[in-house]
This record gives sequence, structure tokens and C-alpha cells, in this order.
Amino acid sequence: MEDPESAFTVLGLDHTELVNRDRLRRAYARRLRVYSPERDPEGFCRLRAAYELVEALLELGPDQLRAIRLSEPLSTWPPPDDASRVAPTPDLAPSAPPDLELVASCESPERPPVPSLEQLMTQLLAMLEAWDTHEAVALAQHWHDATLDDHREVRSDVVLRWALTRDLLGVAIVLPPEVVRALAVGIATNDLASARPVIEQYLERNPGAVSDLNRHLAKRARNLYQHVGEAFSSRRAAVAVPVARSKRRASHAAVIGTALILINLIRTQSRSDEHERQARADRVTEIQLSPQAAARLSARLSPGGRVVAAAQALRNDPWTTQDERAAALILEEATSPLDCARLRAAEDSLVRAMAARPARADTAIGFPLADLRTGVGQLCREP
Amino acid sequence: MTRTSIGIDLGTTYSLAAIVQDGRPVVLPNALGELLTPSAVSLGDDGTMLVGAVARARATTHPTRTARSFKRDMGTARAIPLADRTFSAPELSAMVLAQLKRDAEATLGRTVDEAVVTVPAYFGDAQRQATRDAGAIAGLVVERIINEPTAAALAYGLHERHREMRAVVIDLGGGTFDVTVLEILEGMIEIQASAGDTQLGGDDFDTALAELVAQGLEAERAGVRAHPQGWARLLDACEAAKRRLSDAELTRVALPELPVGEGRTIQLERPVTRDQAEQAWRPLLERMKLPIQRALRDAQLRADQVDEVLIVGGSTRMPCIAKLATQLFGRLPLRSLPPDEAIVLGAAVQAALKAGDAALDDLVITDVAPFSLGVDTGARIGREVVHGLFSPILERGTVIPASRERTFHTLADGQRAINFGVYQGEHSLVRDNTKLGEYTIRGLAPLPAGEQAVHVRFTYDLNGILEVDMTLDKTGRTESLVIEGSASRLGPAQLKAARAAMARLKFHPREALPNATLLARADALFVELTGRPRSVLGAALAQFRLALEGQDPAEIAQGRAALARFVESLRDARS
Repeated sequence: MEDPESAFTVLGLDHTELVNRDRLRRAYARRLRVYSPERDPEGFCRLRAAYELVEALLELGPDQLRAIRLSEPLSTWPPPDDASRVAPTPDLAPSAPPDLELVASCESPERPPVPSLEQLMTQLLAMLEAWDTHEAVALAQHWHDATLDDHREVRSDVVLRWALTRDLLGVAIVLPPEVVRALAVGIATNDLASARPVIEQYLERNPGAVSDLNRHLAKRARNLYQHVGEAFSSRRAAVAVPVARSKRRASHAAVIGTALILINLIRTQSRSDEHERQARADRVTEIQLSPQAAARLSARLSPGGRVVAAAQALRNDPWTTQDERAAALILEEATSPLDCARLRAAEDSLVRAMAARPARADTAIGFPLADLRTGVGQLCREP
Repeated sequence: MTRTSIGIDLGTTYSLAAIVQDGRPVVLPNALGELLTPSAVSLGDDGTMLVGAVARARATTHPTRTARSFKRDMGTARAIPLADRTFSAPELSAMVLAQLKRDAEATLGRTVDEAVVTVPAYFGDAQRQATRDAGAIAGLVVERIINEPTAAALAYGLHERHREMRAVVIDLGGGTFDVTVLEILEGMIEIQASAGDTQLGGDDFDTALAELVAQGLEAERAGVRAHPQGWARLLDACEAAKRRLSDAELTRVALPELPVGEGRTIQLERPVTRDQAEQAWRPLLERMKLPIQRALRDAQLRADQVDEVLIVGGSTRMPCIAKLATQLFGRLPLRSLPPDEAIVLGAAVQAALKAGDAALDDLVITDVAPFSLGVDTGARIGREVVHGLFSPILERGTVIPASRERTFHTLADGQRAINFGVYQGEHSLVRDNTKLGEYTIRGLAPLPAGEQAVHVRFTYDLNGILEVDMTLDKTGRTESLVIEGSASRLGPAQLKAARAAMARLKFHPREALPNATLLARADALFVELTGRPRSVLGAALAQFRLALEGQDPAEIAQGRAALARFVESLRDARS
């Protein structure tokens, strides 16, 4: 099979259609029912050749989102008015197939493409900046549906920014527009500190809003709170919900987000590639704004913090069983004051409880059991 | 009338049969009511052939009259001795297949004449042909040979066909290890790569554990190894210990009166912890990583892009396998089908697909060639001619069925003949690859070197069987060849002879199998015991033998039930 035209026909693709890799694979999968390797081996070989040809064309481009389409539909080639004007003799008629048009994007009406996480964040932050909160939430939902599971897509160099974006999305509706805008710009430019003057000005004008703002951030946007919380600390009197209490009620998303940061930071640290590690670490520190925030983050990375974060993630996972939740609760409590006997016992019963659900092993969130065990091990190491 | 087609997993240690009923695959039980039939054949003392659990139990008491793990010898010319007679691996496999066929027929109440049989992905052409031959000897038309991990994927795919995912199937059976990368999309299950190790399986974990236990015996070690019966008992005990270590952290291997040659016996009793065992297994676990990495590389996939890790095969019950998978993929493996049954369930699905079962209409599966196939070529470098280069025609990972062509030219002036060696493998020199067969085209017109071109077309079908076509461009002459050059391949005449020989063999009657199996199991246990339990078991055995001779069905049934309970309780007490 040499020409893309017949390949498109065999694959059942419309000639005017923009085709990216996903579309190609779906078309191929659907056609397999007609040209099944079982019932029609020769038809299958033709289909496969067509697939491999279009796949090779797609790979010509450097960009993952590249799509192709034939510039003209087969039925109108050569274009009719050309034909009537020039009226070429049959052997002079253009015999070459229509050229391929290489298109850099893959916009198509019925199935919006799934953007990468970075593109998504850029879009979301731009929307938030423009105060299009509802659209931003809808876009995030669409992305979430389309990718099924966002934390698989998260790279460690964007994870913190993503966690902050997601936090902001969660509280945008209840925050004043100027604060949302300032935070969005801050996250987008990796400079959250720039949002602080705006927040302070706002609080200056509306002293009564301090406790509300503080509460919303502390409750529903833990990561943001960590990074801009100092804006409130000077107004100590107004702090309504202490962190320690709000921790219990922290939203699911925020806790998963925190756990993610931990997992990814830990992973980043264990990467063997020294160079890459340095590069990633640099990017992570860029976003760590204040020394206080950095200190708090590193506290999270301490053995105790690790255990607590992992236990919280587990408690907030909807699939967690009663036994596991009970064990997680004990793990959380026994870290301070440190009670190694209880920790060890809870760890054992958690491991047993998790082992007892092999049929549902698939539903465990990327649960860092190993990290939890390491954390407990470090906490309770023999002196 | 429609023909009945079943799926068969012809395993190294166990075999199973299954069929699709009402759109769902179910495993068919054997004469003992068990789902797993051990892949073991024993020559009875009265000259009858014993297959399955009874033969498995006799491996301890009659090691020289019993054959196991013969799947590893498929495709070789090796003769396997059973007492004074010898059998080939396909013949022994045929006996297992025939037993499964009889059991399936008894359960279904109709004749079974076709089957889909699974083989490890890494089985080469010769081993696939040998499997096909085994089916023919057993009187089954083997409609399709499919790869075991593909079958497992099919069983999972049937469950998950409405989901879209990329998955890795890790299959550690008794004797083989396979890794397969696949994608499920719009009702299509696409196998994207497979890799494996033909010489790695649960048996190796038994051996490693036995070596570990024997290490404690230093002086006796050589003696234990050399004494077949003693070694078989040690392996058996270690297999049981391995199973116990899947649930417990600590177990013990106890063998009173273990024979070590020269008529001596020793008392063996040794505690083994899971950590110790996993230490001993570390080299095996390391070996498992290589095929996994290769399969991922072939599929151009990173470990973190995998949505699910599916583990199948009885040996994956060992926690260290799940641990390895978790470590490599960063996620817990999925095990929603019984590990022993996933493969046979998939084979049954394939049999139903082949038969055009309407309930499975929206499912299509595509597989890949697990190894590269090519020809032996030479090259002129300066004035030297280098021979024995491997020129692949069909690359590993090509989606099958597939047909690929390459053109070659004559190497010498006036060359009158071309000799093609057909090889499978991944090495650049043919001597490192496996030879499948060869063919010589003679009577070429004498032309200067490089003038005569020959187009070689390889066609690889869904069963993994290769057809070679050669066309000379000057004359348009075409020669074709279906690979059957390997030493172990049986011709039609040999097949017929083998089938006749099989018909002459006396098989233990199926109805009597539960009695024979119980006797063999009790005998095997008797050897292990000492003291009072041993004498009590001896008495119970004697009583049951007496009942058998009396031929009163009621009395036999009663005696069997009593002895079975006794054997069970003793086995439980020991483990």
C-alpha cells in the first residue's frame, strides 16, 4: 500500500478529516471487526499496511499533537472547475494523489483534544485570571474525564504548580476576583510572592474578610495556604481555624495533592540520574517562596510528616476499608507524641488489611505503603 | 451438527480444559472433580498408563516410572524413559491431552473433537509443531495455537473490554516465564510485544529452595542430588514449603528417613523463613526483570505509562512476584482471575471466537511474532566473503498474520544453486540463532554475481507457523516451503504410527481413577511418615485394598471416603 488515499479508504477515514494518532488507532480498531485476522487474514494484512502507512506519516512530525488530513476529498479530485476550464486529456490529467496537508493542531468539532497538563494549567490559570471560574471548572472536569486519572500524567517538575492550580480552582468561587487573579498570575509565573501585596491590600480594605479568607484557604486549599498563609500570620487575632484542626477536615483533593507532592519529591530524590535530579530540584525550589514555607515542606518530608501524610491520604481514599482506616488513624495519632509500639502494631495491621484485599488491589490509589513503612522504620529506629 | 471446541492450557506442571457457555468461559473438572490435572504420566505396575494426579503422586514413590515437566522437552528429539520403555515429549503430552478430552467429554456429554491449545509465547516453530502433533496423536484437531499470555490477556480483556488501557501481563507458570504488553481499545485487544524466558518457572524456585535446604546437609548434599527418589521427595517437600511460604513467614521442611544413596537415610528437618527463601530466589527474580524490560522497550512504553499489571500463573501466588511487579511498575498488580485458570479461560474464549460465538462478536484480538525470522546470507567485503550472517525478513513484534518480502542476489559468478537456511532469533550471526529448516533451489542460469535476484517472502500465520516462498526474477520460477525441517517434526506416516501406538496403550479406566489416585497419594504419604501415624495409615491402606478386591461398590465407596479423610487430616497436620 503506497498511497495515503487508499489507506484512508481502507481505514474508513473521511478524507477531509483531521487525523491524529488516537483517531487513527480508533479507526483501525473499529475496522478490525470487518477485516478480522481470524476471518479475513488478507483483508487484515491490507488494513494493517494502511494503518502502518498513516502511522508513519504521523511520525514525520516532531509534535505529539500533530494531525494530518488529505487536502482534497477523493471524489472532487481534480477540482471540477479546473477540469472544465482546462479540460486536460486523460494522460495529461494529474495522476499524483492529493498532497498531504500537515497540520500542527488537531482541532475537530466533536471530540475536543486532550491537552497536556502544562497546557491545561496555562489555560486554567488564564481563565482564572479573567475570572471565568465556571468555565475553568468545566475544563478541568473535561480533562479529568478524558484522562481518567490525572496523577499518572503528573511529572514531578509540574506537580507543585498543578497542586496549587487545583487548590485555586477549588476556592476560586469563594474568593474575591482580585485575589484569584493575583494568585493565578503568581502561580503562572512561578512567583506566588507577587500575590502577597494584592492580598494584603485587599485585607487592608476589608479587615472583616480575613477570617473568611483564612478559613477557606486553610480548609480547602492546603498547598496555597502553605505558601501565602504568612500574609495572614501578621494578623494573628483573625486566624479563625488553626491548621492543626483543619488538617482533619482538609479536602480530599488537597490531601491527595499533598501526598502527590510527597510521592513525587521522594521519587525525584531517588532518581539515579544526578543531572536530571538537580534540574528538577531547581525547578521545585523556584516555587518554594518563603523560608517558612520551605521549612514546613521539609517538615512534611520528615519521617513523621511522611507517615501522617500517607495515613491521611489513605483515610481520604474512598476505597479504604474500615480496618485500614482504623489503622491509619492510629498511625496518625501515634506519631506525636511518638509511640513506637502502637505505630508498629498499626503498621502491621494496615499491611495485613491491605494484603487481605487482593481482588481490589487495583483500586488502591498509588498508595505509598513503602514510604509509610520507611517512615515508621526511621521514626522507631533503635538508637 | 456443530463441532465442540474447547480451550486447553497444556502446562508444565498442570493442565486444564475450559469451554465457553452462554458467553462465559468455565473450567471443566476432571474425573476427580478437580480443575487442575497434573501434567504427569506414570507407567503403572500392571503396564497401564496413569495420567494426572495419580501419576503426580507416584512421582515420589516411583520416580523412574513417572515423567513430569516434559513440556520443557517439546520440540527436541529427547526420549524420556519410563521404566523399560521410552516416549517422546509429544507422546506424553498427547496422553495428557487425551485425558483432558475424555474428562471434558464426560462432563459435557458429547464428543469433543477440536481444541485451542496454549503455548508459551517464546515457543519456537519446532515446539509449536510438536504441540500440534501431540494434539493429533490424542485425536484432537488443534485449530489454533495461541500464546499463553495472549490467552490470559483475552480472559482479562473479556472482562475489561469496555475499558481502555495499556497493560502488562506477567505469566510465571511451572516451567516458563512470559511477559506481554497489550492495549485494549474499542473492543480490540492488541498485543504489542512479548518476551520471555523458556527456562524459568516455578520449578526453578523449588530447585533453588531444595538447594538451600540441602546446603545445610553439606556432606550429604552430593548423595541427595544423586539419589533420584530422595531428590524427588526433597523437591516435593520444597514445593509444598514454597506454597506455605506464600501465606506464612516461616515454615519447616521435614523429611524423616530421606534416602541419600548406598542404602543410607538421614533425618531432615529444617526451618525456612520467607526471607531466607527470597534470598535464595534473588537470582531468579533478577532474571525475570530482563524479559520485562525487553517487552516494554519493544512496545516503546515506559513503566509509568502502564495502566494495569496483570499477573497470572500459579507461581505468581508467591508474594515476591507481586513485590517485584510493584517495584518495577510502581503499582500493585491486578489479580481478579484465579492465577491458575486465566490462561485456559482465554483459550476457551479463543475457541469460541474461532467457532463464531455470537456472544463474543465485538471482540477482536491481534498478536505479534515473538521472534525475528530470517535467512542465512553472505556478504562480499573486499575480496573476502563472509558467511553465516542473519538477515531478518520478518522482524520480532510484527503484527500477525503477516507477509514480508526481501530480495537477495547471487554471491558468485555463474552460481547455479541457492541454499537457504531459515532461522529464528535475534543474533546477527545465524550460528547463534535457531535453525528452522533449509531449502535449495537448483538449476539457475549461470549469470555474473549479483545478476540473479531472488525474492523471498515469509508468511507467518496466526498459529505461528511459517511459510516461505522464493521467486527467481529472471524465470519467474516459484518454490515454496512450509518449515518442517526440524529433527523432531513428525511426518504423516509417523503421526499415524504414533496414533496407533497410542491406541494400543492401555489406560487406567476413568471410573477407577479416584481409587487409584487415592492409593497413590496414600502410598506417597506413607513413605513420608514415621511411627504411629505410619502404622495407622498402613492399616487403613490395607483395609481399602481389601475392599477393592471385594469389588462391592458400597464397601469401596465407604473405604475410599474413610481413607481420603484420613489422608487429608494427616497432610494438613504436616503442613
